[in-house]
Amino acid sequence: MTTPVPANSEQAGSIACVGMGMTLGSHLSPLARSHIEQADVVFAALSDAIVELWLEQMHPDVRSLQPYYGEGKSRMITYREWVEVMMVEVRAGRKVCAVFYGHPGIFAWSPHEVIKVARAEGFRAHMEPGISAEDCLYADLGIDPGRGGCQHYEASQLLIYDTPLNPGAYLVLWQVGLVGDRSMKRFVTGPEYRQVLVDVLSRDYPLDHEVIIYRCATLPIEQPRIRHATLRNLAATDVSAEETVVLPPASRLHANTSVRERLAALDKAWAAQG
Amino acid sequence: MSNTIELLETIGKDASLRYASGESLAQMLSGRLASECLLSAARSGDRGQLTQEFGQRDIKTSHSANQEPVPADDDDLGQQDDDGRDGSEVTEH
Repeated sequence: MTTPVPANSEQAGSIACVGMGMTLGSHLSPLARSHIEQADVVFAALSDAIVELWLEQMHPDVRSLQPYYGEGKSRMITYREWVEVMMVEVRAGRKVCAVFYGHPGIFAWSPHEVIKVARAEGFRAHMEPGISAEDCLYADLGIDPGRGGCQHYEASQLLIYDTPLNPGAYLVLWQVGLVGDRSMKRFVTGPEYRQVLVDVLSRDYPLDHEVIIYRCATLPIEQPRIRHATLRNLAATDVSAEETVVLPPASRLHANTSVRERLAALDKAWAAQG
Repeated sequence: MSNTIELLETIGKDASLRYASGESLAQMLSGRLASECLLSAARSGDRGQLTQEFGQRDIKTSHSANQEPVPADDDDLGQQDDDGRDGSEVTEH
């Protein structure tokens, strides 16, 4: 955990990274809205052009970060540019608010990075949580991650890195729409890439296992989009960048007999003391 | 356009409207001078109906990295990894 720089060593500029939530009008917290309204300049990395217009009604100087994306340009370069343009304003002594869709700290590189950079340079930096797609997913799909556990991965990581999975827990895969893009220059990949994902997942899940393809509502006139398929059919199923793939558990929890025996002995000793 | 945004915000923060039927929403909106686009979108639950009012704009939503970033002067992330130092930069919850 990064320790914030003490107040007496801070310089004039500051940055707050806040979450806009997912659904227009429904999720923005009063505190995040206050950060936006009190800022000198607001940067926006949102998932919906209409939500961006909504944000523009809250502040006269909202600067979209969308133009920094480019076809054939690594998103890593884009993310670093975001950090730099925000830091230019912080270093100029301005109060900066960076607004990201959902939660600014979830599957987002630059909010964490800009906070790290700002603090290292002696500026005040803060993250304000927001309602994420993950939060909406739990509500809309009726999933409690506390029942059996829940694991989250950026889908490409499962292909790029050797990643052990726990098929007894929920598996939530983000960015399946561009799975397998090692260049970070593409915004969509095709069925042949999803087939690689299917092949990797099939080591732990049967091919007829259910997969849920989920997209939460970004406008309040919409409902969440929930589709069902089998793992076998995932490659042939179009998945957009905004959609998330969920695999329910494929096995039951297994009792750990030796640890249970150890806990029983502790319980017995504890009862004898009482 | 601004009236449409305000009406969307009104729907989004009102428990009686957020999950109301399309017809109920359209009834409420018609009394508040909503645009035809919004009326149609609310009635059908299809945001595509708002394209005529707001236009079609491509929005990119990926904010995460799927590999450990290399130094800033090397933009080819596809050439590195798997040296035992992995540890992704995708941020955890």
